[in-house]
Amino acid sequence: MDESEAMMPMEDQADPAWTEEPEMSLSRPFLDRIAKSATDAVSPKATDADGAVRPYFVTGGRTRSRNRSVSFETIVALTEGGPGLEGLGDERLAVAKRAAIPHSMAELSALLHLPIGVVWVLAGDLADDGYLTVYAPPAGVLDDVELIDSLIDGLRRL
Amino acid sequence: MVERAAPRRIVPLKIVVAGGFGVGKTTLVGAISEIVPLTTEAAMTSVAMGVDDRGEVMTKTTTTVAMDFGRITVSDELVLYLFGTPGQDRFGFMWDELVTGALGAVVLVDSRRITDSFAALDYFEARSIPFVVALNCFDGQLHHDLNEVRDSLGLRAEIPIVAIDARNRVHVKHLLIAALELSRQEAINRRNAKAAATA
Repeated sequence: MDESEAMMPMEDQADPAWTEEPEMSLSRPFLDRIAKSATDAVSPKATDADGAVRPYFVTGGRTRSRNRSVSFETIVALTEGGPGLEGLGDERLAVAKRAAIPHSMAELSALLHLPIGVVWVLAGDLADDGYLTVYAPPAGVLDDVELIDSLIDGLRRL
Repeated sequence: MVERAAPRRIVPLKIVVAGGFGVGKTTLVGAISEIVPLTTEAAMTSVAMGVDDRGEVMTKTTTTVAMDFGRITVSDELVLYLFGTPGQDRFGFMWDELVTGALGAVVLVDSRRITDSFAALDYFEARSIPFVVALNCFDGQLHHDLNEVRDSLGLRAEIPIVAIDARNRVHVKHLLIAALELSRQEAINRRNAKAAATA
């Protein structure tokens, strides 16, 4: 299951309109921080000829967590009584430490300078392994009039 | 030492703010966010195969696109995120992901460049996602009449359009409330329709 997912092409890059975007600046995210651990750990090669790390290498090529319900606003928090953080790899440790204060996936992405897709995978894995508690947006929010009411009331009080 | 988070109920919610480049989305988010707007990145590895004059080459590039967002802790439980979505042309691959589950949508418009907002309007209309149109008054000036802009955008009568100053916290607050009230009304309509169908 996981391995087959890992082999699948990334869904997000399938959009041909995107790949044709000509004027995008080119960058390779988080080069320095992952290079060591990633190259040490595994073959095939984690880096291109110029030493740059492929962004999804750290996730084994996955752009989605095993738990696929994650979104930009999904919040994760370090689970009380969860497993100790020793032994976690650099990137997972960084995510777990930040989650000592509840943070959304978008916030983790911004604070850790990791692409959102990488955060989805790392945080999802950490949640699956018991480190993190996930606070997902409730299902059916759009039909939840009471929830919308309490949000409106809360905003009015700001 | 890492202090563990206290367990409690947290409900993350979101509103999306769409509009053309430079229309003031980040300003709007920053006007009401409790955090300085953060930037999240999506990295896309695109693989382009081609042949150049030296023979076959395969080029891998990673492009990133940035999205600014803010946060409002509305109550002990409710945390509202505001996402300023980059234009659909640049961020199309993630729009569905971003918009799914959004409790409200705002299309921010610069009346001097209204075509920039067409992609967002098309997107929300095609998916029947309720949205409010906000005309950003740069420097506090309304450059065009609201009804003219409504006509130019081809907005249906039930879609609210308001003039705001994206820097003004109170304006933004009322704008968000207007977006939520629209969603609320839609929810009530669906509920009533369902009740009528089963009656």
